[in-house]
Amino acid sequence: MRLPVLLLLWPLLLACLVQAIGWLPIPHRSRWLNRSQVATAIAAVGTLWVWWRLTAVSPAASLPMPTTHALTISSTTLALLPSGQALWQIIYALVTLLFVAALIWPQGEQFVTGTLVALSPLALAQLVPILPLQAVGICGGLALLGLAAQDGHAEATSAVMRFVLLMLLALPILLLVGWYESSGDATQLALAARLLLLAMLLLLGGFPFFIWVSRLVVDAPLGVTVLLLGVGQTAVFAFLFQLLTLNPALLADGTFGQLGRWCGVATALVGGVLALTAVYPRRLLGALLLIDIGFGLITLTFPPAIGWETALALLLVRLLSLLLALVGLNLLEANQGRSPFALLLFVYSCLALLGLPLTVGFGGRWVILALVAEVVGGETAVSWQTILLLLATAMGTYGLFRLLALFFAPQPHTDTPAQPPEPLWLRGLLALLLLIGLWLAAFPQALLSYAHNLAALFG
Amino acid sequence: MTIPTIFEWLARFGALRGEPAAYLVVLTAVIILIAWDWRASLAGLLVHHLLAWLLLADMLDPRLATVKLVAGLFVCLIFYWTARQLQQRPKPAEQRLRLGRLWLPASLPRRLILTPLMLLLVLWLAQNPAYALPGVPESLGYLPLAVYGLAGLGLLGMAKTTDPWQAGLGLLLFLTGFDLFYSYLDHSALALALLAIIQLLAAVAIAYLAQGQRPLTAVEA
Repeated sequence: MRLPVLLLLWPLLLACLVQAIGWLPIPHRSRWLNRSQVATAIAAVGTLWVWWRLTAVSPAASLPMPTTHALTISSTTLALLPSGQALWQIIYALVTLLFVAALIWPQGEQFVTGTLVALSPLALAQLVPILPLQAVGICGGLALLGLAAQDGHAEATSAVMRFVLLMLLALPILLLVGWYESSGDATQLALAARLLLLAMLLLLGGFPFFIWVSRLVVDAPLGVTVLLLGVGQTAVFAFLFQLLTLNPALLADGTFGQLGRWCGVATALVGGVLALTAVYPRRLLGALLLIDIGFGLITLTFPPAIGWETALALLLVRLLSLLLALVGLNLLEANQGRSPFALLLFVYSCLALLGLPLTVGFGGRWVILALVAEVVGGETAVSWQTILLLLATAMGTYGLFRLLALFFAPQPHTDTPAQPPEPLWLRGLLALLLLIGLWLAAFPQALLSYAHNLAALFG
Repeated sequence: MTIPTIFEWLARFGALRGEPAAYLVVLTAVIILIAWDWRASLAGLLVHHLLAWLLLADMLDPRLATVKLVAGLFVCLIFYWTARQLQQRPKPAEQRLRLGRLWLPASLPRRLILTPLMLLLVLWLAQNPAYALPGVPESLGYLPLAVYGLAGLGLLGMAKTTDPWQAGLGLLLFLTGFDLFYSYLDHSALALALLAIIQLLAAVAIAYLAQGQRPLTAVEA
């Protein structure tokens, strides 16, 4: 079967299968029914991933793509280039990991089905070379991910509603970008660049459209946060950089870069302020994610080759940090905050998200700060934007240590029974995760060179 | 008895075409935003789609404009089913104002203040040549009023509430405003189909969220 067909249809067929298992007429639906749904999804997605790894086209392969990796429908060729393949392999691997996490910590009845359904339009955005269809794929896919997040969580409706509305608002704006961009007129190109900036802010949750980010982290299951802010935003970044690479005239508008950087700085500052006031781990995580989103927005204003490489480094760190935070926070919440290893894991993920020195996130952040200083103020000057970004990071760090102080503050005497110690296997697993994080922090070049190689595939 | 053709229907509504339709479509948007009963909102939405059809028929082949009208009618149907299902579920606590015998939503004064302000802004934008819609000829001088009016009121509808039903109506108004503008720019079948699909999918998403906010009671489940 051809890869484009597989990427478009396989997740949908799998979603039908998983949903059908859920409808089996079994009296007293046990938790094993839900787990069998998740296990089926893991097996199927995992098999696809392994098959794909084995049959992947070498990055050195020349165009045109082999017939198994391309499909022509009425003179339009759907193809996944080696760059897209590498990115989608990461996305599929992450989705498999998320499903494994959902096996341990259930994320909602429609989490697996909704995720599988959304993968299909997100892949369409990567496969098809027509901007209106790409826009429908990316915005529709994200909205579907949002709807999957809401299922069974009435309290998350407000955050998800805002998310879905903003994604659907971004769609018409992207259609206008395509139309104005194709006109070739200088005035309309400038308008297209500004509209693209607006669409970017809507899709990524940048200032002033950040309202859903913190609410989502607080109200929805953590797997959903990883899904929307990890998987979803990886797909968005890939789409936006592809658009900017194919239409370099959009970047020529000076306002685009300047406004984009200031919006990024404003988003990071809002995240910093929210971190200062956070008294719960989830609120803090939401605030730190906003700071990260702010930095991510800035990468979109750099020349695409450098920007994409930096964004990839940032996204890989975010995915890793969110996975660590997912494990750490779920254990912390299950043990009422009395799990030293889980706390350590959560703190490490926060430090990595902040991009502090000696953490895995430092490399990407340093590159962004250096580039901002270079683009805005020349090689030696330090710009206001750099200072404000550092200030946001400092506020986030203060918020983290303030929260830790609350954790370690003496608790009033209560009659709650002492928590049982963590089982040995769990302590071993958490220690392993921490060691991986520390190894990546000690040798950040491993992650950065992976991001570099991945970005190099995009040419 | 023969069923009138699309062109005959358009001829019957001839007096409303052009500028009157633009003003009326904005007026129905105001009614949709201010109405606190779902029946009034839905009736407004139905009339709104009919008026949008009249405006679209000035830019597109009337048969293609009718496809959008049909999509709009399906949207109304989805909203009707959703509203009927929501009626049977427990309603979240809502603050209310008492005005004589009437109990009105507490958000009504806010809506009554913000909507006229948005209308003033829209009228100013539509009449200011600096904000003319790019590419739209003078013969369609009423189009900016409809586009800005629907987009502005739609955004206001989305911004002022946390209720998926109300916010969804705002989104649909915005999408219709965009539809009027984009249909003029791009007459292709792909654009036509995409915009119709977007409206339908948006309606389904809103219906899903509105029902998700009010979970099933134990008896229904």
